[in-house]
Parts: sequence; structure tokens; C-alpha cells
Amino acid sequence: MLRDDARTGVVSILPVAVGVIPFGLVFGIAAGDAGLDVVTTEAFSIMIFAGAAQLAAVDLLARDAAVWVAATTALVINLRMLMYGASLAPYIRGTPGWARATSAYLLTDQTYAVTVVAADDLDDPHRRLAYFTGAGVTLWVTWQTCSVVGLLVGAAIPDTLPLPLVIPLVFLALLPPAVRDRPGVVAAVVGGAVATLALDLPANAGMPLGALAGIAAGVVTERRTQAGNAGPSPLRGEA
Amino acid sequence: MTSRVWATVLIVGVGTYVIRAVFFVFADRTDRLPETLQRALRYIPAAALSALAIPPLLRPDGDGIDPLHPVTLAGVIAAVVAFRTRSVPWTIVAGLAGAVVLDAVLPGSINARPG
Repeated sequence: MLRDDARTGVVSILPVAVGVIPFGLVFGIAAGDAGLDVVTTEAFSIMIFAGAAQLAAVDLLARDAAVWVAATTALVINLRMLMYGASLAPYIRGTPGWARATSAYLLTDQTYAVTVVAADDLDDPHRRLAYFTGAGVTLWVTWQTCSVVGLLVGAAIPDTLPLPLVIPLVFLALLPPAVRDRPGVVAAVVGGAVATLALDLPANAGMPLGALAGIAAGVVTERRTQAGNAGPSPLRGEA
Repeated sequence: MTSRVWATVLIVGVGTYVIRAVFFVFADRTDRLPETLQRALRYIPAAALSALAIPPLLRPDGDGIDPLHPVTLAGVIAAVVAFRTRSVPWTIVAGLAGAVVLDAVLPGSINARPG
């Protein structure tokens, strides 16, 4: 049943949501420092629902940057989600258009990561979209709650456990099932290396740059492997 | 300040929705994409997840890579657990426990920047 798949999505993203809590609190605190009230803080979190972009925009506005500078920076940060949409689209082909248009709003790094890894085990596009939606709604509630709590409670929150570390750990945990063959290994190695080297680029551009480099490296490796295996070779069928 | 905030929220909100929705809405037509692009889609998960996971673990403070940084060492432990167990909860437990324990022994801050 679709409801069971939605529930599986909720459960699978719960550990991820724990890692998002400190991030949401940090945004709420930054919003308070920038002079935003509950309404404008929630306007950010509801309309945009993307942590890194929200933080960058609030930070720029607080430093008297022009609206177009803050908006462009935030949108550039969010461009990476184009990749996520393109990656998930083949898995949800055949579901109702309204359902896809609605649930698209819930697309984030985390919902993408858990869904794309679970997608192969779900045999039906409707089930995948239900899973995605369950995970997305869970993260959405977490994000909205933590934004407001961060704004109202502020810096009174203790940080005894390094909870922000949970976010990269979740992506790390989802990496092995996402790497399926030799070109996939190359894509992951190049993606991680380029993103690490390009970490200092403005607007978090290192991440999409690394991802694009990794994807290109994966495609090139796949081509080479196939070219090398074209003839009657003992390596045929490997990788 | 308030009108600037609302203008930014509106532009980024609408723009971000379009970024999110464009491939979802046209999902039924992705088989018409050029073949190279369709092949490229297969490598998005590996490349993107790695680009999200690795930088905050290798450069937790944004500085150069320090193999003895507690977060980096904890990341190595977590990577081993991730590849052995393929379990999200166990990877988180191993990474957090590793970071807390190593932080007590080694110099460096365990408060990695949010990814």
C-alpha cells in the first residue's frame, strides 16, 4: 500500500531529520540576528525550504546587500536541485502530474538522497513518489519547527553532541548503495575530490561543480570501458 | 528591511520551486533526452552524494586537509562502517562516537559546518 511506503519514507529520514535540527536552529538564530520576526522567518522557511540558500540570503540582507544579490546567490545555491529532479524523474514516470508538481516542493538534498537509494527496491513509480513524499513532509515539519525554535530560543541551545556532523554522515552512509559499478566509483571519487578542492568558491558552487565533474568522469569511464570491451576480450562484461 | 526581505523571499521561493519542479513535471518525457544526458543521469547519485559527504569531513573547518582532525578520522571510521553495514543509523553512531572520543584525545573542533 502507498501508505506503507509513505511511512517507510518517514522512518528512513528520521535519523536525517535529527541532523537537520541544529541546521534549522542555526537558521532561526541567524534570522533573529538579522532582525526578522516570526512571520518573515517562517516566510523564508516555507517559501524557500532550503537551508543553505536561506542562510546565505539572510546573511546578505543583514549586511545590506541588494535584493538581486541575495536572491541570485540563493538561487545559484539551489541550482544543484536540478540534478536531483533529473535523477529522480525516470523513477516517478507515470504518476499523476499534479502529484509530481506538488511533491516537487519537498525536494531537498536529504529527501533526494534517501529516495534515490531506496528507489530500486520499490517496484512501482507510485510507491516511490509516496516514499519521497513521506520523507519530504517529515523533513519539512522538522525544518519549520526548528526555524521558529531557533528564532525564539536563540543561542540558549547547548551543543554537547556534534549533531551537524550527522548530515555528511548520512550522505556517506547512502554512498555505497549509490555506487553500482566501476564508472560509479570514478564518479564518486572525482565528485568528492573536486567538491573538496572547490570548497572555497562563493555560493557553495563547489558542490555542484564537484557533482558535474564526477558525472562527466563516470560517463567517460563508461565509454572507455565499453570501447575496451568491444572486441572478444576476457574482460568483456566486467564493470 | 521588511520589503527587501519579502522581495527576496518571493523571488527565491518561486525560482527554487521552478528548479525543483521542472524535471518532476516533465518526468514522462525524460526518455526523449539525448542519450549522453540519459547516461549521465545514472551517475548523479554517486557523484552528488560524494560531493555532499566528503568536503565537510575532509575540511571540517574550511581549512586544509588534516588527516588527524577528529572529524576527518571519524569520517574514515564512518566510511568503513558505511561500506560494511550499508546502514544509515550505524554509520551515524560510528561517526558521532568516533568524533566525540577522538575530540577528547586530539586537537581540533568537532563542530563541522552544516552541509
